[in-house]
Formats: sequence, C-alpha cells, structure tokens
Amino acid sequence: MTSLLAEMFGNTRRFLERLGALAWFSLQVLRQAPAAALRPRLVVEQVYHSGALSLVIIMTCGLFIGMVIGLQGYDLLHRIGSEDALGVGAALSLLKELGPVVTALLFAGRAGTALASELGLMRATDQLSAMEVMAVDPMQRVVVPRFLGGLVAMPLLTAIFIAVALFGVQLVGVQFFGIDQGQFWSQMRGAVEPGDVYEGLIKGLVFGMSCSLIAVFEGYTADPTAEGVARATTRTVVISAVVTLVLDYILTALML
Amino acid sequence: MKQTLQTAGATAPAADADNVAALHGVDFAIDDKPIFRGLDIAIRRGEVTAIMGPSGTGKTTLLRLITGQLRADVGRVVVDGRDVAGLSRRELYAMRRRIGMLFQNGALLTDLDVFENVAFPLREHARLPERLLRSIVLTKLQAVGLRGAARLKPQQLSGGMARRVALARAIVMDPHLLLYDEPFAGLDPISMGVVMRLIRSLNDALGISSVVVTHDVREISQIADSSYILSGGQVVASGTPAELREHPSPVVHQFMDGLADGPVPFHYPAPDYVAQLLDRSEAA
Amino acid sequence: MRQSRAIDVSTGLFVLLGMTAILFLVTQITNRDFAWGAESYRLTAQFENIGGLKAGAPVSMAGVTIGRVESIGYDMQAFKADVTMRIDARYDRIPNDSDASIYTAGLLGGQYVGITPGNAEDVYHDGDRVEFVQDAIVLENLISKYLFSQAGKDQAAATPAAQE
Repeated sequence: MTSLLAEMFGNTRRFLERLGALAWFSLQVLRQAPAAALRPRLVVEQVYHSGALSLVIIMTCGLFIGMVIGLQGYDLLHRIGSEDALGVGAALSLLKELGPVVTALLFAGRAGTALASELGLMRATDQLSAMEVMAVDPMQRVVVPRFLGGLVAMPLLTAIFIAVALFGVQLVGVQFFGIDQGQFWSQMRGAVEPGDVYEGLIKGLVFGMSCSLIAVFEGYTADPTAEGVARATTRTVVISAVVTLVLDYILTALML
Repeated sequence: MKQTLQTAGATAPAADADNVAALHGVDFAIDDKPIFRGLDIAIRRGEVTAIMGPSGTGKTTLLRLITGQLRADVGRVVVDGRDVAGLSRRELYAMRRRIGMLFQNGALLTDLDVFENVAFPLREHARLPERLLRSIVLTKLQAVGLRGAARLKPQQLSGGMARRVALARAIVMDPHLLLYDEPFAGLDPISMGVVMRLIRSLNDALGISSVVVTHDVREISQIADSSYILSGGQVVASGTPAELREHPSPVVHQFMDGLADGPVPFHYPAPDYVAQLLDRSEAA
Repeated sequence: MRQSRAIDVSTGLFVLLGMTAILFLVTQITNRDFAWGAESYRLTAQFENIGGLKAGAPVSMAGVTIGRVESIGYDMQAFKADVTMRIDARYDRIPNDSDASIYTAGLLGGQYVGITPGNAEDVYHDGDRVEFVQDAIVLENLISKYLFSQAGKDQAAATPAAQE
C-alpha cells in the first residue's frame, strides 16, 4: 500500500517537474521568437515542413469528415424534417469545434511527431551539442524556427480543413441527397456569424502554439538514445491530444 | 592577453602562460555521482595532448568542461588564461568560436550536404562573399582529402568519411585549440591511419594545440606529445607516451598493455562461486 | 540553391491556399446582412413579457434584419421589461406609430423583435420609445386562456340548458 502511495507521489513529483520544465522552456522559446523571425528563411522552411507537407492528410481527412457529417446530419435531420438545416449545423460544428480540434490532433500526429523525432535525433547524435560548441545557439537556430513554423501553419491548416469539410458536406447533402443548394447555403449564411469564424481561427492559433511547443520540448529534452527518441515521439502525440482537448474546453467556455 | 582572476584560494601558476587550457583542482559530479576529484590537467600550447583511461571515466565530460558546456563544482577551468566559469554568455560564445571540436560520430547536420556542413560556422558567424566562402570550404575539404565529396549528404558517407568532414568543419574557423572525442573509435585500420596523420599534421601545419580523448593506446602513442591517464576520477599518470610505457603503476601497466585482469578486475563483483552453484542445485 | 527555391514556392502556395480558405469562410458562409459596428441609432420598448428574448437577438422588418437587441433591463417603476434596440442607420424612416412584437423564429428557433410599420408621417429618432408593443406568446397563458374559454363555452351551453 505504501509503495503504491510512494509511486503515486513520485509520479506526481515527476509530473510537476516536467510541467515546470515545459513552462520554463516555453518562456525561453517565446522570448527568443522575435529574434528568430529575423531569419525568415529558416521559418519558411519550417512552415513548409509542418504545413505544406501536412496538406494531404488534412485535406483528405477534412473531406471525409465533411462527408460523414453530411451523411449523419442528413439522417438525423431527415427524421424531423429539417434537412435544409444541414448546412447550418455542419458549418457551426466544424467552425467552432470539429475543425480546430481534429486539425490539431492530425497536426500533432503528423507534424508534431516529425518535429519531436527530428529534434530528438539531433539531440541523440550530438548535433545540438556540436552547435553549442560552434557558438551557435541551438534554440535560435533550430528550436524557435520550428515552433514558429508550426504556429503559422496551424490556423491555415484549420481553415483549409473546414473549407474542404464543408465541401464534403455539400457533396453529400446537395449532390447526393438532393437538398436544395440555395437553402443549404442561405440557411448557413443566416446563422453563421464572422465571430464564429474568428473563434475557430483563434482556437487553431492556440492549438498551434500548444502542439508546437509540446513537440519541440519533447524532442529537445529527449533522452539521447533510440528509445528516448521513440518515447518522445509517443509522448508528443499523447500530451498534445490531452492538452488540446483541455484547452478546447477552456477556450469554448471563455468564448461562449 | 592574460587576465589575472581573483578566485578564492587559487593562485595563477606561471605555467599557465604555456598552457592553452588547464584544469586546476576540479571536482565534478553528475546527480551526486562523482566523476572528477581534484583533477589537475595542463594542455600545453602547440602540442598534441592525449587523455586516456578506461571507458566511463568521464573523458567526454572533460571536454565539455573545457568548452564551458558544463560547469565545475569545485576548482577552475582556465582557457586562454581566463576562467571559463566567469565568462559572460557573449564571451563564452566568442571563446568557443576559437575552439574546434570533433565529436565521436561526427555530429554532422543531417539536413545539409557536406559542403554546407563545413560552411555552417562561416555562414553563422561571418558575413563573407560567397566566392571567398567557397574557397575556404574547398580548401578545408582538401586538407582532409574530401574535396570531391562536397555535394554528398551525411547519410551517404562512411563513418570515417563523416568524421573527416566533421574535422574539416572543426577547422574552418581556424581555431587555435582542437578537441577530439574518441576519433579512432570504430574505424578500419586505413581510416585510423588517415585520422592519425590528419591530427598530427594539422596540429603542426596550423600551429595549434590538440586534445585527443581516446582509449586507443597504440594509435595515440604514435602521435601524442604528452598524455594523461585518468582512472577513478583522478590523474593516475602523466608524461610522454614513452614514459607511460615504463610507468611502474599496475593501473597504468594494465591499461597501456591491454591486460584482461589487474587493478581493473575481470570479474564483476559477485558472491562466492561455489556457494551460488550449490544453492541453486539444492533449491532445485 | 534549387531545393530552397522549390520549398519557397510550395510554402507560398500553402499560405495562399490557407488565406483563400480563411477568406472563403469569412465571406461566403457568414451573414453579411448586418454590418455590425456601422452607424446606428437606439430605440427602446417596454414589454409585459419578453419570453425568451435575449440580447443580440435580431430586430427585423418584413423579415429583413435591420438591427439587434442591445440590452434588456427591468423597469422597477413601470414593472415592465425594458428592451433597448440598435437599428442600422440605413433604416431611418420607421414611422413613429409602428409596433414592435416578439416573435419566435421557426419551431425551435430563438425569439426576435419584429417591427410592423405604421402610417404616421413622422419617423422614429435616436432614443425614441416604441409605444405599440405586443408581448411574447407564453405557452402557459395560451393554455389557461384556452381552458377559460372552454369553461365559458360550457357554462354558456349549460345556462341555456338550465334555463329551459
């Protein structure tokens, strides 16, 4: 019994230690962000790696989620005779919740793991140490550009995801089930406010910040071994997912 | 440009003028595990100094103390007459620009090709016209014999080639101190010969000082001017390779001659052999 | 360096795509009937019962949104709900005998204020109060009205029978 308590206590203490390290690390990254922005070449490269290379998965998943929403939504609304409201429901749920959250989870899986494993590998092969010895600050040269790349990419990916998903919804609803196209869009326009769009984009930005920070942190502080890198990659996805959903609740509560 | 530092209880020995780097009475521990105790090492200018010892004696840690990546708990680490611990961040970075380090596996940046890897310090620290930069990089690659490999990627290089590229990178800023971390580890005899030749010739041709951390006794003895043998966190012997070969201490003797058993025992501590065997058969 | 040129182009395309998506979302799927923050003026109205009317609910004429409910308060002197509305300045010719009623949008929809124009020459100005109002329809009142009217009919039917 006491050993269980001791283990829990140890876990809690380790958790708090890690949390503190993450907070401190994030502060460093944010503090150095403006300086790193002075080297746009590095940031552009990272926007490419985190954003452009994630396009395929984002658009594919967006399309299919949109189509599923179309199917399920139509089925549901059909029972109460309000199929025309499919556009409204889909747009609002995608904009405010599904879009930012699913994009963040996909981002963590594709770009987050890439960032973490890349940095972890650089740590394990002494590349970061070599940079230090060459009087190049690895934070500036390697970490912060990757953070900024993810930060820029996420809101854009979120918008693309939502747009493609809406296309998927209308593909199923209008093209397939025959909902009136005019009704579909006009009802949507009637109910969706610019504020809803901004809500979604703000969430995308916040999630981008959190997922990118977690990814670079895990990679940078990974154990310099093969298992260490693998563990860092796994932790990135798990922690990003949990943090995203927690932040989602907080943001939704704040913005409502 | 030697600065006299007022550090509690330390006097600046006259020998420091001849030393490009030195450790005075250094204690260092990681997570309460002591690595060094009262370590005194002097790296003389213009020489190739070998740091040898069994695995795990913290030889890489020593290099990190010299570059300032780690801080000594007790004692002073002096580079170019200045205490590393007292340097500001900018001064530390300035110092590091004059030091070159060769890592055990090269530590080349994997997203850059050979040319860009060697050019990396130049691009980061100096604003050179592209043609001048190109000349410098190619010259350094020529010095290590890899000018023809300039466009290959690190993944395409063999271990020995990667290390040579890393060496070219280490000398591209014309450092006055070169640190080598296990440069012979895992190399075939030819590559080993190449690296040996490079270490010695670079040291003499460029007029620099070199510190080689290794346990390849045979190789380093051919090129080192002076050597230190570390064991148990302290210096157990120092001198020229010839002196060390004649050294009376059994620790040194075992290390230099590669004997399987001696002060460093063959058997990991274990209970009595017969007793353990009998216990098991009785339990069965 | 060819490779970095390709990366630049790809990144540029990606950013362009993202911006286009954002633009699409903001312009194509939101209602732009009412430009919030434009020039507007205030009208007030007092109701016995506002039902489920909330701040931010639309104010419309003939089904077209011409404004929003800015705030809802309670008048302790008149014991009525005090509704303040913001009307877009474009619609500045509402006759001052128009009435304001509270309607429900659809079966499950939220409630809104509908203004039916009157015939007066003069129009409402900033700060005017709409005098002619119709409260929200409350279900319980409907039911009790129905029950009372039923009871009245029964009684009327019973009395002539009793009189016979």
